[in-house]
Amino acid sequence: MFRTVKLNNGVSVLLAHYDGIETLSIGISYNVGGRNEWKLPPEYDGVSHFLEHVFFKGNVKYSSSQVNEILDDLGGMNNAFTTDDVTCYYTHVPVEAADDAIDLFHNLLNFRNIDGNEFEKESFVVRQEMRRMEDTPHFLLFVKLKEAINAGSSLEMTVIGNEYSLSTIKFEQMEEYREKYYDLSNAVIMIIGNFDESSILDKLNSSFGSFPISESKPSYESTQFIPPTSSSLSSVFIHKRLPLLYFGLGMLTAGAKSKYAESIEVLSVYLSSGRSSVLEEDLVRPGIASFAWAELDLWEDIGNLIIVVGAEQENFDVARKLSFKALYKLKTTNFDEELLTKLCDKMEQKLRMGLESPQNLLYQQSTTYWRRGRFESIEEQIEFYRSVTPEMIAEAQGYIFNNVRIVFGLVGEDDLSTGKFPDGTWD
Amino acid sequence: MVMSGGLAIETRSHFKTSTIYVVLPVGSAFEKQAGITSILLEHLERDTRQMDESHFADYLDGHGMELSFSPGRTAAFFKLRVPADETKAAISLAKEVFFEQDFDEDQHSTIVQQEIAYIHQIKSSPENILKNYLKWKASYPDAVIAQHPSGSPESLQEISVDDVENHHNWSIQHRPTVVMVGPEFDTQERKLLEDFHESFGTRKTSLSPSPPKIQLNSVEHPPSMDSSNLYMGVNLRSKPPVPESHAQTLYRMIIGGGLSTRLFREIREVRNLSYAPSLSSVSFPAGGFLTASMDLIPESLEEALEVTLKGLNSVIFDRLEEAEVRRALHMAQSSFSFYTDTSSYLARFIAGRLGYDLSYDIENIKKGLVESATGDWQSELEELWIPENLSFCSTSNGEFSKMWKEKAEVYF
Repeated sequence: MFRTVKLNNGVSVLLAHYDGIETLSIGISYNVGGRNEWKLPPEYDGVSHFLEHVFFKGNVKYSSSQVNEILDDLGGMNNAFTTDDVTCYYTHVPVEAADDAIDLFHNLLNFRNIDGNEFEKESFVVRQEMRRMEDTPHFLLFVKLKEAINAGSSLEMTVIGNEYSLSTIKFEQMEEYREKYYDLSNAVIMIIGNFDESSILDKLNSSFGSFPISESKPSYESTQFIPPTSSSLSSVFIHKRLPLLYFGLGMLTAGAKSKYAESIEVLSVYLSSGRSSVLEEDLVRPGIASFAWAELDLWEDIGNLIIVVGAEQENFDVARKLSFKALYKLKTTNFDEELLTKLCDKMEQKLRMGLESPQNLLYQQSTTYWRRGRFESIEEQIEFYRSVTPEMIAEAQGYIFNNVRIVFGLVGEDDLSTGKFPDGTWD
Repeated sequence: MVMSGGLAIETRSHFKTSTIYVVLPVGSAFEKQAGITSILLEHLERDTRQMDESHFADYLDGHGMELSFSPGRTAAFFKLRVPADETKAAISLAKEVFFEQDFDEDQHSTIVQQEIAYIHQIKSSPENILKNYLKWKASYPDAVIAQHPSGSPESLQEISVDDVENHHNWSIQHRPTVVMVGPEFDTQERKLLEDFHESFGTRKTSLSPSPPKIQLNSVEHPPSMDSSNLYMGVNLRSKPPVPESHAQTLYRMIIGGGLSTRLFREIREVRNLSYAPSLSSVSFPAGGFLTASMDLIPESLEEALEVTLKGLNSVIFDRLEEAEVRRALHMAQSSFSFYTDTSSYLARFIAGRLGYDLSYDIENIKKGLVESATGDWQSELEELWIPENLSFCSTSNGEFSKMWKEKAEVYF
């Protein structure tokens, strides 16, 4: 069973039932993230993510140490994440702990002032997290590419913030921010695993369903994909002494609500999904790259396609050229029925395998709701991909890959960017 | 259900996938050439005699099969997860992967280069250096088990394709643990798996790294790349996993099992010294150790060391609050329930237990935990607290070893 219901106060809830499983994932996803911080004063950079750290440290009923103790007592695996458009809190518990976990989450949303001491201390922890990101080269590169390709839109924000903002923001400012964006009108709830539908709905209505919610949902500034009229290449360079070179390519695409969304997903599978993908075949299997992967993020209004590659210094020139050529194949390859069927089969298998775990479904749906405008079951997702035709792909290829604005990024000791497209691509 | 020595088949009707998990007791600790098992596994993972690399990749993707090999220090691990209706094909493929191989010279050169790049990838992250190298060197100095399964760039370049073929012949003479988990299996599938298991030899390996005689050992090694944080670990050698020690499980949970546990609470929540203090544990037939590790700024290391040592010591020797033990028990019990979420988690869990001849009946394990939690489980751990079992590792320059000894000696 996979269905969306509304609580008494109008909050949407995903109920996804996994017969026979012994566990349950409970999550609450807010449509808030780095995008909401755009154009706010500089101290607000990273406030959504910072707030994620102290979100449960200011509620009417429990102290922060009590919250942690109760979560552990339930035997839950608990965590949270913040992206550009979503902040999600979740726990994964044995089924017998479901009611208590819902009660706890409900109580945590009865906000009071954030504890000032906790706020000060957590500021250091978030900066420590930022330094940890800097020590993870592929992640650092990905973040820098994302910032560069989205320059000028609300997606250019660094979700984690920066040294200045994290040490300058005041907890009163954070509370105002919480007040504005963390209303249940801007949230959805997910219950995924083994549960009794009727009793869980009663429980949700008497808890989350009892909160008053505001009539207007807060928002962030949207953008749109405009196909470039000519191709261009720029670069970002991050100086770092490393035994391996990390480089990547980033570009914009149309978004999740565009008519091109499914076609872009299929093109991305062709590029980087599985052992038979272009990146695996052209870069990894021949030993030119240590690894090569691509991530496609389709926000509601625009998309990002980012490739990240690790290669030895002596392989860099070839690896760089082949990375561009791999991306260029998305423009030139003829996606006939046979190839399309193969890619859709691959995509279906990947979805079915990945979403066997309730937690994975929760991660996926926590963003799907905001980007696609609804929760989507595996069957619905498969149906969308199966509906893609060669003509639709050809149209998407022309719209997105005919001319491109690419950012080349590199983490290493020397800036090796050439500023030119390799021959046989968009040169 | 255990079919025979080292073979188990388990079903849960809610699984959508089947997983075949193989643990072959031929890890890097038994190698004559460092890293040869990792090279062998790369060969096995790429093709078979019937399918070249491209065909093999298409076959796996087309059937939704996830195949992975990973080299360990005492064993090599193979996992094949497939949609449930592909189980028969998966068993046949597993057999083909292990037993129907040709070793190609060109492919071998590519694999060696990739494995060297992989070593450089690990060494691009100071945290990975701590977890892959330093904690092992600190816990088992000079022991063969401290060597990384990937070997070194120099050792890998010495390995020829003939060496790999010989190593393959030697490896498959060993008796593996084989586990298959899925929604249901018919008689033919069970028989096919038995045949697969029987295709291996019956040799065994054993390893007994001698207990280090160094007291309060320390390993500090600055990484060769730029890093923003310093990474530190305190290691405590533990007992072998056989016989089962619920006391060690409870200990691990109280130190680092969740958000209210000693490490997270004291290091992150109370003192805000680190973003990600964590506890990891490794075990092998002759022993194991746990590591409390964290990211720090250098100025915080002294305080973090004090807190970590105090936590590790007090959970063995001090009287604990009932609520703290209860939380540890609940977290431990839940962790076993989570293994039943997917066929892959459960297969790996069962293989781990079978490898030590331990029962994998989750309900019984939970009962055992309850009995231990209400008894004097702490006294079982007292013998671990000797200076030879404690060690320190860090990505620092060597400036903290003296401090480490001074701080740790207080507890003896």
